Amino acid sequence: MVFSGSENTRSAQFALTGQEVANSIARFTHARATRLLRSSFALTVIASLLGLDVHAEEPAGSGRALAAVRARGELRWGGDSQGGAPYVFQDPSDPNRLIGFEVDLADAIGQRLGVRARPVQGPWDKLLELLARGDFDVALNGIEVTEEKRRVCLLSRPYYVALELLTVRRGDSGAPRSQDALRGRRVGTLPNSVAERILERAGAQPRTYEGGQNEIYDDLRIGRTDAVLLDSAITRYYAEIEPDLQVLDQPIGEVQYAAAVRLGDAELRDAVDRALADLAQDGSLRRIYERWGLWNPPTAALIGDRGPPRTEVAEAWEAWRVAVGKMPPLWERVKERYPKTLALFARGAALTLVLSILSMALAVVVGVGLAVGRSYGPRPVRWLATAYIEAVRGTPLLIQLTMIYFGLPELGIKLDPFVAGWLALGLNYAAAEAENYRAGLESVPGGQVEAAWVLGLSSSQTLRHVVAPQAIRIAIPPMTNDFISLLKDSSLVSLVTLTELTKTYVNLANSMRDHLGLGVLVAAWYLLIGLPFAYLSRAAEAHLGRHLRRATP
Amino acid sequence: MIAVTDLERRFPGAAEAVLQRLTFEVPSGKLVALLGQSGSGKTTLLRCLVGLEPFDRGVVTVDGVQLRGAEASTSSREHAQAVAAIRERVGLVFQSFELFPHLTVLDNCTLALRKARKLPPGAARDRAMTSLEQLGLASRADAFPEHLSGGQRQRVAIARALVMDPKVLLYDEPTSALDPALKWEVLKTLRQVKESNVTQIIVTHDIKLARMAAESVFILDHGQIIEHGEPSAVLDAPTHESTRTLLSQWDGSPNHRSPRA
Repeated sequence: MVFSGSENTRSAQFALTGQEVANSIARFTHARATRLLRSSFALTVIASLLGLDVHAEEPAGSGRALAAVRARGELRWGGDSQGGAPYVFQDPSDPNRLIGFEVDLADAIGQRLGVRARPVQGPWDKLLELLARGDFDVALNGIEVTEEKRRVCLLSRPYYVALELLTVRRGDSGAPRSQDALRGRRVGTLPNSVAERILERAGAQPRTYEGGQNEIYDDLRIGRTDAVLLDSAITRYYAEIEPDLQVLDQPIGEVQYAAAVRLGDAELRDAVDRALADLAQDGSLRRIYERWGLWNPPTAALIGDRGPPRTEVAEAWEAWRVAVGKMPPLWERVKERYPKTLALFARGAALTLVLSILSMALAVVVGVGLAVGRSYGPRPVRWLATAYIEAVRGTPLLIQLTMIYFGLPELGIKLDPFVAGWLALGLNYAAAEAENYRAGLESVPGGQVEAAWVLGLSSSQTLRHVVAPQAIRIAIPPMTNDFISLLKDSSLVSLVTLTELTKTYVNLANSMRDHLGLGVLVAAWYLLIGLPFAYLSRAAEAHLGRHLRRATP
Repeated sequence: MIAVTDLERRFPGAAEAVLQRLTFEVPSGKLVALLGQSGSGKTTLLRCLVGLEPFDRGVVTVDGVQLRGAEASTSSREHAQAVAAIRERVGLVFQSFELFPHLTVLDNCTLALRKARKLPPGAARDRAMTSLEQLGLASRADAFPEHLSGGQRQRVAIARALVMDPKVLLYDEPTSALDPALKWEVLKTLRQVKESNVTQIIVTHDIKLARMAAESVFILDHGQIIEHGEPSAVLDAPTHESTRTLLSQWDGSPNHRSPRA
């Protein structure tokens, strides 16, 4: 094989890519943490709030994306490692490496453009929105060519054709085995996909899954669905290797994948098109597909490859099959695999912890303001504080985060993911904290306040020295509760490209196909970072409540 | 001394004023007991005297400082200054003491000295310890209020007021929250305070306490002082029908407790 000489370099590159994701998260977390310690961070936030674009990046769709990519020396491409094999996923035998045929493809395109390719993590169903925001230059993750996508982005020339294949339980005589038989049957697939549309047209009852391929096939296996309709790239990796599942040969349709760039970035799109054409021309595309066991006649027709059929070993596919085909026994996983998750989990946990602590700090500061405003402010302030608390507490955090991250850019305010997550969590929890503090403030009898006034203390001195110290003790247990909730709610920031603890778990579980063992592991990580705070809070409460203890002679 | 002139307080929407053109004077260092039915306005009067309750008209004068009613239409700033000046001269011991539970006995007594009077911690501590010693509480300086008996708590409340060096000290029902047996303790305390030449006004239901402690007794009825004089004169030979009713209601009831006005 002509290409095999550089094969080692390429796998080294994957390793680098996987490492890079991890590094960039670490760098990112570290950079945030340090920046927070400086006032420049506050200025960044304030500037952002004032609508100043603090990003040096090109605005979306400026038409100068290609120049920006070249200047940066880096093509940032968006994908979701949760989507799993064979697109973009963590190597089951070493999750620190990000692999997949689209990782290879992105590297090849980058090489053609003369830049490095850097993967950016984002949820699959949000990739085009993140692209529009400017979080990366190209979305490259099984993006299906459809007419309506052309309204929100520019699509490159297609690079792959997948067949839509039905999978059923082996030996299930009642299973739907043709398009006509689908009517009225429950069929699993991915949301907003071409496959889902085919199912709708056929009169089936599509059941869609946000999680990943494993769940879709699990539900088929246990009979929650009658069949699964998915792209051949997926069935090859998730259905074919299962002895109890049968992939039907007759395709029900096809779908093409293309890369997406922002509307207006035609120059970049053209550059990507030229790169793809070159890669098709010199056989690189075919080699990638063959290596991943994805080479098929429609793709050959698409890229105009008229070469003779070959019987190359699909080594990447074989590696996957060996790694996940049969789950190793628990002890072996504990010995061989779990140690390799350590660094990824540690980074996820660090991000979760740093984000949660900073968000709680914001929630406490804003919450105190709201509580004092609501309890002691003049009427308009009371009214505003109450309105804020009710509005924020009464709406889902997910909506608030979506509005801050995807909505504010419409007003010209583009926050980076960490700041957006921090603001959403902090401002949301501020409402809960405000109510805790109000309960604390109101627990102090009015007589004590009057006693303080008569002694000559001002209202603010009374608040500070008489009311607040007693209120804090009352507020500590619910605060601790909230902080633990916040630790868990911080998993929502995976929506905005941040890979925290939960997202790390979901990605790993999907690529290693091990939900239970890794689930126990991630639970332990959450306890590990949450428990110290529970102990701290109990100690603080005991200290502040020492006057309540009975005197011991 | 404290002088009250023409004091009128009317709750919004009420037909009758709680305090009706009240006028009286207590000379320096005297101890006066203020008696009256529930609802006669006793507690409202105390609250007016320390600026916790606004009043509609009239003047309260303590040591040359005047606090005027709302009709005098002073600016809110001037009013706040007058309230602050009055509070520097008048202390109040609440019925339920209202000690700060999160602070030790000593800190309860030094808090206002340090924060309101800006005394250095050492000076505040010395002054507080003097008052605590005077009331026999020096050994409990580091205890929290929760750990004290009812009588000790009351003395802490009195010490906390005394360290501010008031000209006038007001007590709201000083015996009502205490075991009746502690009456003697209260009496002793009142006499100790009197030694510092502080003018004292005690609102009480406790006729025995009034008889033993007070130099003068005021009977408050429907917002007016209907009778006043030496305890023996007023309590043994009341001239007013309402006073007789009041005394007959209370005499013989061991606890002397009735709902607070």
